[in-house]
Amino acid sequence: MKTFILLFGLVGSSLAYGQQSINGLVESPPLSTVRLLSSNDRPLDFSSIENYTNGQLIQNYCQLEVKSNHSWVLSAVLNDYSGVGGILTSSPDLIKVKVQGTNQFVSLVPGVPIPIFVSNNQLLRNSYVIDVWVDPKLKLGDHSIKQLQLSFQLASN
Amino acid sequence: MVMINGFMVYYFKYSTKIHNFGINYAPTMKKFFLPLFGVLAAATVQGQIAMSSTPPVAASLESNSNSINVVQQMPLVFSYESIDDYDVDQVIGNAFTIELAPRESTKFLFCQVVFLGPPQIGLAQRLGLKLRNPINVPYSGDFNHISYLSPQPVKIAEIGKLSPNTLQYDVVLRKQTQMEATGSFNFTLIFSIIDP
Repeated sequence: MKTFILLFGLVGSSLAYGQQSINGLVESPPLSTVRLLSSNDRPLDFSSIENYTNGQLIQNYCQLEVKSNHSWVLSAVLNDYSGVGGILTSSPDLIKVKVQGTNQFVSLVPGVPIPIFVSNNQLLRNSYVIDVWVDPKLKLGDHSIKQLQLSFQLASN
Repeated sequence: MVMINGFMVYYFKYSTKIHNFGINYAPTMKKFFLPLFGVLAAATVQGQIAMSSTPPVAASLESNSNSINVVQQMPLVFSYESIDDYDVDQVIGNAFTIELAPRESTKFLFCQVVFLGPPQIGLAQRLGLKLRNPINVPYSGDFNHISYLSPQPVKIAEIGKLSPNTLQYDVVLRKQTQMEATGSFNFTLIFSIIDP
């Protein structure tokens, strides 16, 4: 009897109004990217003693766009230090970077990703301006040309 | 002289997590669910018989002016492959058609979206339907715009006596500006047609 009542109720409700459904799927894997929007890439001239004692600050060195659908951490890597000899290893504070809006420069270590910023909002897209401080501390005095290369990478946090 | 040059752009793509959902019934619920399964099985058999030949469906639609038949034309799968995909609306064109019975008075067509699994309010609010060829189908709003869905039924069309009996719809997943939950999310679109 209960079964009959349940069956009658289902049929009755289906006739009261028409209803149908279809199924779908949203696949949203973790995705992220960092892009270089602009750069202020220029040679630095260490021709005075002050350039060595105080270093040189390159403001607005580059602008990065970070796009991610999940929490992230941005790291900087000092990639190419060939030709510099042992200077970098003996001067760990030679290259420092800072995300504008933060307080402290972060010293880079050759070949090692160093976190410089962590996502602090829920926006899918953010852009950041990076300052670079080159501080040789009297250790680049051999009149040779040194080429350095920075890269930035993104990882999930 | 120290020169700093060159940047590398890194792009990370991660594998997709797939969530499986299951329902565990307690043995004491057998009395309730066994009759229900019987009804569902009967409905399934009836549906297969109806789809095997055209006349029974037509007869059914004519006999009940509130009948509705949703025919899926395309898989309703939104798959983000790049982070840039979030910048634009994702559109599945001509995703499904709705077949309606002839009617003597205006009917309201409602739709709601139900996502399975954890709460995904953002996804539900971004999912919408767009009517193609909206001739003689007045909307509650401007039919050129997309009707965005919600977990509650949303009126997507008013079907007049002279409105066409077959409606074509695109499914749209609106572009995104905020982070949302990542993963694979199943959803169901439920259509209802009722008298005003």
